[in-house]
Amino acid sequence: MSEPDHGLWQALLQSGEVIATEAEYEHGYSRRLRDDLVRMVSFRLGAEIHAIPIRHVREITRCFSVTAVPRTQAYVRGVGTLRGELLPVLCLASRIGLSPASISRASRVLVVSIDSDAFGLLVDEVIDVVSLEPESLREPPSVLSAAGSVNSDFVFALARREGKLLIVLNLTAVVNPEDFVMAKWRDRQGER
Amino acid sequence: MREYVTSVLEGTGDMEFEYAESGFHALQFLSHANPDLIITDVNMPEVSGLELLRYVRKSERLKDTPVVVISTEGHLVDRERAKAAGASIMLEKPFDPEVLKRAVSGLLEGPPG
Amino acid sequence: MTSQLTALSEIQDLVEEFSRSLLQIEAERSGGRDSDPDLVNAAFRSIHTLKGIVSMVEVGQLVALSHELENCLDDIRLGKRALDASSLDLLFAAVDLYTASLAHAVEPSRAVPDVTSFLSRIKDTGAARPATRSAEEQVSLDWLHEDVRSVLTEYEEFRLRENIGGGRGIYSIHVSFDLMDVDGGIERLKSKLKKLGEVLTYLPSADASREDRIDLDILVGSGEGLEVLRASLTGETASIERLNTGGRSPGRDEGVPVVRGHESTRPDDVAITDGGSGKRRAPPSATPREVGSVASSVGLPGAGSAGSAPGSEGVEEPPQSIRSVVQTVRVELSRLDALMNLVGELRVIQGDFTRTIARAENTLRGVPEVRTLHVQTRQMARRIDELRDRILDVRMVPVGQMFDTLARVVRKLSREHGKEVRLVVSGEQTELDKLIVEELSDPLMHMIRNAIDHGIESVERRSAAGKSLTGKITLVARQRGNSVEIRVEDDGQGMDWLALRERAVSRGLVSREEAEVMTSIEALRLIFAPGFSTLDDLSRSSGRGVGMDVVKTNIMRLSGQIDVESEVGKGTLFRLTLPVTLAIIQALVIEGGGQMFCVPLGSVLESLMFERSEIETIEGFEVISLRSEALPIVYLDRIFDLPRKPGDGQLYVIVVGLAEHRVGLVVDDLLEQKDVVIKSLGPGLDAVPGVAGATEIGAGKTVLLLDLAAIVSDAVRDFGTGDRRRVEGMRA
Repeated sequence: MSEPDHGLWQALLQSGEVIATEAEYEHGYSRRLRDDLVRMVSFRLGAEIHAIPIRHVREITRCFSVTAVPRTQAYVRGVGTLRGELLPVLCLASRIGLSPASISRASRVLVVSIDSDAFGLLVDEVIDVVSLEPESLREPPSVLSAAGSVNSDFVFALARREGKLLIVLNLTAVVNPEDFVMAKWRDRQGER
Repeated sequence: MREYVTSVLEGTGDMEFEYAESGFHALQFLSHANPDLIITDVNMPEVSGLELLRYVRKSERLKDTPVVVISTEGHLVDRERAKAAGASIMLEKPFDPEVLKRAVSGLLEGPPG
Repeated sequence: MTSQLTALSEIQDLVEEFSRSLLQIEAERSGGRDSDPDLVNAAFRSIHTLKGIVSMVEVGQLVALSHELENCLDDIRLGKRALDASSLDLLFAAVDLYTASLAHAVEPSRAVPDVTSFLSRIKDTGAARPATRSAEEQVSLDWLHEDVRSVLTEYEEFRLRENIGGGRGIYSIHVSFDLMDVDGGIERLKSKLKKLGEVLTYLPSADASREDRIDLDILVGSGEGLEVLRASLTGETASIERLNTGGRSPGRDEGVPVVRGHESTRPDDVAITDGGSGKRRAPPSATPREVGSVASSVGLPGAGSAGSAPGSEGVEEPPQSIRSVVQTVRVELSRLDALMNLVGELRVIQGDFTRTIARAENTLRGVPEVRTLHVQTRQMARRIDELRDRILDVRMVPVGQMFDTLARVVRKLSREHGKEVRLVVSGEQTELDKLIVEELSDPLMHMIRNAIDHGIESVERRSAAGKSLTGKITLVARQRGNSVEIRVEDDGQGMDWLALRERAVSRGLVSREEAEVMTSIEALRLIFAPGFSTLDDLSRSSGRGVGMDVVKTNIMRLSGQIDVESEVGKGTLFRLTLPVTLAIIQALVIEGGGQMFCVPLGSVLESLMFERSEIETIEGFEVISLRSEALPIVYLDRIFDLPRKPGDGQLYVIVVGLAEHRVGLVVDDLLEQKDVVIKSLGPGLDAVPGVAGATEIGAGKTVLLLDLAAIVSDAVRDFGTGDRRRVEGMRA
C-alpha cells in the first residue's frame, strides 16, 4: 500500500481490530493471530522511515493552510484550522533533527491526540500501517552517530521491516508543548 | 448589482473600480477619495442614493463629480428627486448595458477643457 | 464555478434571507404585535437585490416572478396592500416557487414549477386594495426643510408620514463620528434609537466636511418626549432637536389616528374625540402625552398611553404593544462585546494592582493597611469575575426561539413531501449564547430536512411496517455541565450502514478491503466525510447544496461536536454537543509583515494614517506628531521579525494605551472590523507572548489575535531599560 488516501485511512485507523498482514501468512496458510502486536503507522521523513503507535493517530489528512506563529521554534510551522478545529502543526523532520521538510504531493499531516489535545505532524509520505511483534523492537543504541541523524531522546525503539530500518518515535517526547515557544520568549508572558 | 455594473463596464476603457457596500461605506470612502465618477443605486437602506448625491453636490471637493443614479422601474418620485438633486444621468432598472457604457464614457470624457 | 452557478447560489441565499424575514414577520403577527416596518423593508430589499441578479441569468420565469413580487412588497411597505395571513401565504408560496425553479435550473429533469398561475394570483389579489388615504387626509410636510424633503425616497417619505399620522414627534439628531468608527457608532446609535422609535433616514451633512469625521443628521419618529431621547444620547457626540410641533397636523381632530389600510374605524375612535373636550380614555396611571393615538403605532414602544387598563368603560382596546408588559430590553450583541472588553481590561488592571501590592509589601512590611489592601483587592477580583459572568449571561438566549422556527419548517416540509410528521421539543428553556443559536439554525434545519426527506417514510410504508402513521422528530436540548447537548431524533427508516459503506467504496472514499473491517459506527460516520454526498443527491432533496460534512464543519467551528446513531427501521439520532458560550470579541483585522492579524478593538484607542515623511526622531526614537503631542511608534514587523513591506510612503498606525501613555503600532494595512470567535491556541502555543489566540476568517484561513499591551510594552521596555519616564519625556 502506498500513496494511501484520506478516507481509506480513517476507516482503517478507527477500526480497533487487529489486521492480519501478509507477514502472518506463510506458505498459503494462516498462522494464529497474535493480539499483542503493536500497530503503528509508518511514514517517511527524508530518507528515513519512522513510525508511531496508531492509537494516538486520529486521522491522516492532506496538507492544509497553516498560519505561522511568531516567536516559536523553527519546527513549529504554525496553526491551521481543520474543519473548524484549531491545531498546531509541527514539522516532524525538523523536530527530530533532520532537515526541514518541503511540501510535496505526497506530504501528509498526521493528526495525533495526546491527552485530548490535538497536534498536526507534517510528514513526507505515509507508507503503511504495520503490526509489529513487541520482541522485534530493539532498544536504540545510546549514541546514534552521524550528523543529521535523529536525536536519541526521541527514539523509542528500532525495528526491521521487510529488510528496512524502522525508527519508532517516542511521541510524548517528540510533541512537547512546553518547547514550542522560542527560549528567549518563554516566561515573558505575564509581564507588562 | 455591483458585479453586473462592473462586468458591463470592464471592457470599455482603462478604469479602476472601488466598491462601497452601503451608503455609510460610500461616505467613508468619499471622505478621502476623489473618484472620477460615482455610480449609485437610489434604494439603499439608511443612507439612500439621494442623500449621498446631496452630500456630494454640497461638498466643495466633490461637487463636480459626475454621478450616475440608478433607480427602480416605476418609481417616478425617486427619479424626479434624483434629477432635482443633481444627478448627471438617470438610469432606470432594467437598463440596456449599452446605455450605461455610453453614459459612463460620455461623462468621463467630460466637456472639453 | 461558472458565473451561472455563482448567480444561482446568490439567488438561493437571497431567497433564504427573504424566507427568514417572512418567518419573523409571521412570528410577530402570531404574537399579536404589529409588523416591524424594518422587517417588511428588509423583505423588500432581499427581493429587490434578487431581481437584479435574476435578470442576468436565464432561469425559467424568475424575472417575471421577481418583478411581480417586488411590486407586491413595495405596495405592502408603502401601505397600499395589506399584510395579512393570505398575503403571507402568497409570499411563502413565492419562496417555494423560487426554490423549485432553482432546483430545476440545476437539475433540468426536475419538474418545472408553475409560475404563470402564481403570477395571476398575485395580480388578482393585488387588485383588491385596502382603503388608501385620500389626498386631503395626507399629512403636511411643510415644516420640513426643502433640502431634506427633496432627498427622501418615496419609501422614506411614506414612513415619515406614517409616523406623523401616528402622532409621533419627528426629531433630528445631529451626530459626528470618527471615520474609522462609523460602523460601530451607527450600530450603537441605531440600537438605542430603535428602542425609542423609528429611524427614518440618515442625512450626511456635507457642511462639516472634515476629512477624519463623518457628520450625519438622523431623522427619528418617536412617541417619547424630547428629554427622554436626549437622555438616551448621553455618551454620544450628538445633539437633538424637534422638527415638528405637537405631532398633529393643523385641522385634524385631536387623537384621531390616521387610518391604516386594514384598520378601519375602531370603536374607541368615537370615544376619544368625545365632544372635543380633549379628555382621554387613558387610565389614571398613564402619563398624559402630547401625542394621541394608541395602536396605530407600528409596534414600537412608547407610542401612546402605556398600559391602558382593560375594560375602561367597555371600550375595546386593541392589543397593546406587548413591550409595556414584558420586562425585557433588546440589546445589540456588539454592546455586550464592548462590555466584555471593558471587563477584560478591568481584570488586567486588577492583576497589575495585585502585583504592585505584592511588590510594595516589602517596603510596607508591618503597615496595617496592607492587610486591608489585600482583602479589598480580593473582593474586587471576585466582583469583576461576577460581572463577567453576568455579562456572558446576558448573551444567553433560550434555544426555544430556534425551535419555533424549526416547527414551522417541519410543518411546511411535511406538507411538501406529503408525509405526516410532527415535531416534539423539550428543553426549550435551555440557554445558549445567542451567536451559537444563530449559527445552529442552519445545520439543524438541514438535519430536519434530511429527516423528513429521507428519514420519515410515507404514510403507506409506515402503516405497512406497523409504525404509527405520523412520523415523529424529537428535538431535545439539555445542559450538561459546561456544554449543552442537543439531540435530533427521528423514528423513520434509519440509515443502513452497510449501504453507506457501499456508497463510500463506490465513491472511492474507502477501498473494499478497508470497508470490510469497518464497524457500524464508523460506517455511519462516513456521512460526515467530505465528498460523501454529491451535488446530485443534494439537489434532489429540496435543491439545497449542503452535505453533512458542511454541517459538521459548522458545528466544529462553534467548538462543538456531532455524532450519529442509527438503526434500520427504527430511526436516526444526531447528537450535538456545544459549549455554552463562545469567546467573541470585536476585532480589527490588520496586515503586518505580510501576514494578517487581528487585534481587539477595545484595545485600540484610535487608528491613523501618516506619511513616512512625518516621522521625527527624539533622542533616537521615532515619533509622530498627534494633536501636538509626540506619539512614539514601534513597528509590528520588527517586533515579530517579519519581512518589512517596501515603503510606499504611507503608514497605518494603531494607537494603544499603556498605563497613562500612548504608543503607536505601525502596521502595513487596516483591513476591516468584525466580530470574531476566538479560540485558544492550545498547550504550548498559548504561551507565546504577544499572541492571545486565533480565529478563522473566511474559510480555513487562520488569523492570530494579538495581545497589544504585551507587544507594545515589550517594545517600550526596549526603549530604555524599562524606564517609563523616558516615554514621558517624549511628550513634546
